[in-house]
Amino acid sequence: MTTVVEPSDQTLITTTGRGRKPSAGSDRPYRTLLAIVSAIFIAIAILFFYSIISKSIPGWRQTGLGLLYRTNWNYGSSQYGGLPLFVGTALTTGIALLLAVPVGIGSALAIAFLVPRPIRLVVSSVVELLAVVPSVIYGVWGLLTMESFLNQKGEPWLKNLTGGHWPFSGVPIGLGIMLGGIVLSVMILPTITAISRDVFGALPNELIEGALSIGATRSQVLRKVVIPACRPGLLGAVTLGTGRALGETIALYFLLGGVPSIHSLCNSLFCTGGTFGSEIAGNFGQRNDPVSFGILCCLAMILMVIVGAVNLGARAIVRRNLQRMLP
Amino acid sequence: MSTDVVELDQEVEPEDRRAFVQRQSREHYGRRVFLSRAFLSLLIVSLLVAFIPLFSIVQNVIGHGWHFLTWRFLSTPEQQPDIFHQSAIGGVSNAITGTVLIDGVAMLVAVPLSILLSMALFESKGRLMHALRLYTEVMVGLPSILVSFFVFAMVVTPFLAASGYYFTALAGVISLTLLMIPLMTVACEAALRDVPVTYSEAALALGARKSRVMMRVLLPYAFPRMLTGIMLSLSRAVGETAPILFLIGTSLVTNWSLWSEQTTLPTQIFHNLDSNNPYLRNACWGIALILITAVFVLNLTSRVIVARSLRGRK
Amino acid sequence: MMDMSSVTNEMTEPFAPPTISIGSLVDQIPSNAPAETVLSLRDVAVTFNSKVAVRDVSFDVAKNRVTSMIGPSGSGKTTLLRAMNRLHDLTKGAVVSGTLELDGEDIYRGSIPTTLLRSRIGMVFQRPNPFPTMSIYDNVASGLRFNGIKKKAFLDDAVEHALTSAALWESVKGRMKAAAGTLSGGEQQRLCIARALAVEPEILLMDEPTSSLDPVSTQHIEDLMSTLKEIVTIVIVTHNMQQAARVSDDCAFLLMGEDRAGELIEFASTEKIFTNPSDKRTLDYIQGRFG
Repeated sequence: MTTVVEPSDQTLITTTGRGRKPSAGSDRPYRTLLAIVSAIFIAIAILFFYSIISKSIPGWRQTGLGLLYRTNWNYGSSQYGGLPLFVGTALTTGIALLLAVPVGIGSALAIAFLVPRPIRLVVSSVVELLAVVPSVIYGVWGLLTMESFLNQKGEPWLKNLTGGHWPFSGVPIGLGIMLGGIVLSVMILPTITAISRDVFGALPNELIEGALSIGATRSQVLRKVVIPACRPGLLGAVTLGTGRALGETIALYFLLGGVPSIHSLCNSLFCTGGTFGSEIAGNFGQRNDPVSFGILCCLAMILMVIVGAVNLGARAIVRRNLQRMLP
Repeated sequence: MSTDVVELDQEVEPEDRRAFVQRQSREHYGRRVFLSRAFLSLLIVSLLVAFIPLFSIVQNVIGHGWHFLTWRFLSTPEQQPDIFHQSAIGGVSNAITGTVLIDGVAMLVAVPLSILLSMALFESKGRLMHALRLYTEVMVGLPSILVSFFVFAMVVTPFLAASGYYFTALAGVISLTLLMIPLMTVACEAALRDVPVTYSEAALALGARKSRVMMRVLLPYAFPRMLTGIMLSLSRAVGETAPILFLIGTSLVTNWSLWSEQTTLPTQIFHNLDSNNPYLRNACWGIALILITAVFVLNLTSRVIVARSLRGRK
Repeated sequence: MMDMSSVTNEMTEPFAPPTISIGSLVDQIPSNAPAETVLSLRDVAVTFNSKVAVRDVSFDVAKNRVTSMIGPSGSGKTTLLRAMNRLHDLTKGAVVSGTLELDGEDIYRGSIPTTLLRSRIGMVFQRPNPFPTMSIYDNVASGLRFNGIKKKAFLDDAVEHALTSAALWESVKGRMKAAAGTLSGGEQQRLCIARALAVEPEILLMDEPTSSLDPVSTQHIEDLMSTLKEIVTIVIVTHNMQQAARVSDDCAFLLMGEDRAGELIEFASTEKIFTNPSDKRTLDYIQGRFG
């Protein structure tokens, strides 16, 4: 840890020393304090990644790279093919985004530009409150309310509508990928709506007036000017929603169904399934020997890489967009 | 129409161009209005669609949960029902004390550390600090379950479990502290950056030290926004299940010890939902209502604070 | 048309010869033709939530001339300008009363739909507001595309024409795909002028178009106006009296009355307003006694 303190101390001194006055020597305790705090957090940051990566090594030894491509997952009997988990994570998040992004951004547009002012205040406060509803409550609602609705009405209706063709084949049982995806979409909807609304609200009025003053209709203003100009911010909103959907553990543990911890590939959305998050939640109890824990750490590591990549990727895209737009 | 375009390839009189544009605009007008109305209606429909599930959640939580809001339910601890008395599920006092204890202590630790860290990030620009900022921001977006891996591997296994403390409230406190710090730090640093540069420049020009500028100018100005960020982070932490579920165990008695097992509102919901007992499952609605109320109160309080204190500015 | 040619020669004489490539058009259209009213205001008043912002304004905007509106801040110049292309429709509680007629048709109660009206009466704003995500070409073409004109040959021609009219074509013709944000502030404002011109408006409203620009860019825009008025009638709001004197042919002077509502004090040719105003308050203002 001492090796970490020194460089951060130096950076602090060089940066704060730029405008140094003769009396600045007495600022030393302040700078030292901040340097110590920074050093502690740099240490924690390193330890955070180190702990998950190092503890996953016994897991990787056990599974090999098969964890990334094999198709059978059975935690109890040591079959560690992670492909069903990749598919489950991708499908649930995919359904969630497919439903929540258009509805969320559409609602945000409606709130920001169409709804009369008094109603706007109420609606946007409600949306912001809903964005902080704990995910376990979405789990309760999903399991005790939505599950029976999907089981009895939603899924049979979808099956009839599509004639039971892919991806709506198989027996609708309520619990499964479909339920998980729908509840995730409801969970990330307020987040996406609230952030998008803020993004739209921050848009300078001049752009809207500029478009109106050359004869654009209101929908043209929104589609051709407002949405493109807000794209970086909207991407941020969607990324946050995606991160939340990818990393959801508790709610999905209840909603994806199936015999615990046994998953294989399945070509219907009515299938039960597992995601990295739900598997971690379902098996954290069996973490007492290093190998079992190591395999959970492997899952955590994959989850961390996926969500981290999504976040950093979105940051990079936003930065590139902004650079292109500014002189 | 196409003949017009051919003609317009040549040098044209301005009046012809104007007449052409205006005629075209009139011809397309009906279709444009129709499309515009259709699109705007679609937006309104999406708003209504968005409110159906959200309304359903609120309606169910309140509808199924309100009759749990009795003094008896709030003041008695949870009880494990036996096979003959399936409805004897007790109350939530153990979970309420657990929540207050774990979130309260975690907040007491996290708040000063976050403010210090945000000050450090605000004051310096080195490469290492840039990395730390990036880490903080990425942590905000990472799944909260990852924190419990870290705490389990680095705190529980080597220290607590080694001394016989397998499940402790302390582990939960550490986990929630680590979860809160990035959230609070990002919010507090944003609050510091929000202070008009002229304020701190004026103080620096008078020869004030950086520490004094921070204490006397920046922190007082940024305080309301910092408080909001802190309350919002707290309201998020209160609802978290994943980072503490596997660290704190369960406690069926009300106690205030950091070294014993604890139950919080979210973990009690988890365990109830995980059981087969219909009474326990149904009680989830009541606990959810209490939890949602707590989160909303924290959230609304922070809004009121910021609205009050910002009223005087600008 | 025949009998006007003599007038043309006589009237253009005092003005500087046109500098840019509108070329032959300048000879055909008189720069200072006898007033043919294109927009007339009668008893126009704008109120916000029943608070009067500007009242009782009546004057005629003459075709192919530059009409300026001057006055101290709070006198309702911008409010009045925004009433001319119905931008107040966006503001809750804003009511425009009186009559505004474009070519004899009431723009509020007549049959012209608002979106079509706005492409006939274009507007340039205080700060340049090019669409940030669009290229230079797309910015200029956007108005035509909004209006349903998609033919590439026409768009290419119209974009070049509009940019030429805005004296920007020569400097951007090699980088039409570049983002609008890459232009300088003055160029961005000329891009906005080109964007407004592309839909061939009859009137171009300019709301303090140079207030955010440096002196050189301001000079460019002012030079531009004297040639632009050959193809479009201009109404400009400016806080800068010298600018009004330099660029405009007619001038409206507004002033905030006792009840804080703006009023039209005097409307006359710019020459008369600045040399021989009939109202004492106008004289006080142009001599810098207040405002």
